Amino acid sequence: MLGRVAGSSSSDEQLERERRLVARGHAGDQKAVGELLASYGPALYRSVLLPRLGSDAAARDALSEVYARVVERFDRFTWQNVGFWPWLRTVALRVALDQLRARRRLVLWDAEDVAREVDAAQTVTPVDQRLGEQRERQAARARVEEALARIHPRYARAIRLRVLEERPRDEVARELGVTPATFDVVLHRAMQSLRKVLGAPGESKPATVSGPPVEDAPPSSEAPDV
Amino acid sequence: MSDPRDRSRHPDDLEVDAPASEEEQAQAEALREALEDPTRPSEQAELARAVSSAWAPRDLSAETHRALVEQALRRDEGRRRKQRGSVIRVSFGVSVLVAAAAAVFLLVEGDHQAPARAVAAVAISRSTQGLFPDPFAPTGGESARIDRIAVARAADLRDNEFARWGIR
Repeated sequence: MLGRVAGSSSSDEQLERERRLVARGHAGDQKAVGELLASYGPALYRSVLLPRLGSDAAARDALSEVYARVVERFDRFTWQNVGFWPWLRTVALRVALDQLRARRRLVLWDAEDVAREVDAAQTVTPVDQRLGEQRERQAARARVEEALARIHPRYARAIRLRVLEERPRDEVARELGVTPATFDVVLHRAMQSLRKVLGAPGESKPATVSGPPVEDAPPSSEAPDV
Repeated sequence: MSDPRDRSRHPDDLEVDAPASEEEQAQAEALREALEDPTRPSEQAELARAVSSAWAPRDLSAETHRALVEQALRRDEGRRRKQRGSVIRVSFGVSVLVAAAAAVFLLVEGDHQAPARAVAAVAISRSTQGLFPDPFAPTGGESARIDRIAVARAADLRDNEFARWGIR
């Protein structure tokens, strides 16, 4: 992983390594581009695409599209001493936005949320990948917590135990003091209630949850129109 | 059925403890099955997985990731090769067109310009008076005058031929 910690010598080394890879990539060395993607791709999938798109298949498709765009338009990337991550993340957000606009599945993010993130990425975007990933994760969890806070506490507890903690059905039923069959009904009602607060088609739109905090801005040209 | 600690003034309070209808039980059963088997279609199960993905996103397997990177690079290489092929084909096509256009131009221009050049460069029919600046003698000298005319016109003819051939 090429994550950088501001001010450390290893950060400078990583930055220099990235700069060299980018230069090689600009000279037509596809292997160097592949190395950059291999370095950042897993984090991109885990912290940017999967939480926003909500399914492994959708996130995988999106990552494939991100790679296609990055490889095809690599010559447009201008090195500006903030590394490759901000540009890659912006490309990923745009791909996620396209996917969210093209489908109707209900996830925690909607297209408007991601559109706002894309706009923000033009001027402010996390420079450090590891720090950025941590903040993305915090923001995603905050989004889940906010949604759960809007439904009945018993429903929220059922979702928390069964869906978030992935505990076995029987165990959760015992913990809630009901039979497994009754728990199924509770969970069904809980998911229905969650759909409602997330603004499923025909339901009211929930309040907007803010995106991840961001660091100081790299130049806007770091996030070209991709 | 609800936890007393959870009892609050929530709008769903009544629903939480309401008995389930048969339809609701069937939907609950469908959700349970879909959570256990991701291939079963269920919007609620999809949402549950989306929430789970946001809460604790899983990693992409190294193999899958490597395959995606290789696929992107391979596609780009194919695209570049295709572009290069297109450039060569377009260049060849353009060259052929230019050559054809040049040939047609020369042919047409040649046909049009040859008479023009001939008209501009060749000697035209004119009086023989210029060949005889002095007055004729009352008798004799006819053959010499014919010879002078013949020589002059032969020279004109030769010049005209050279002009038509484009070597003058």
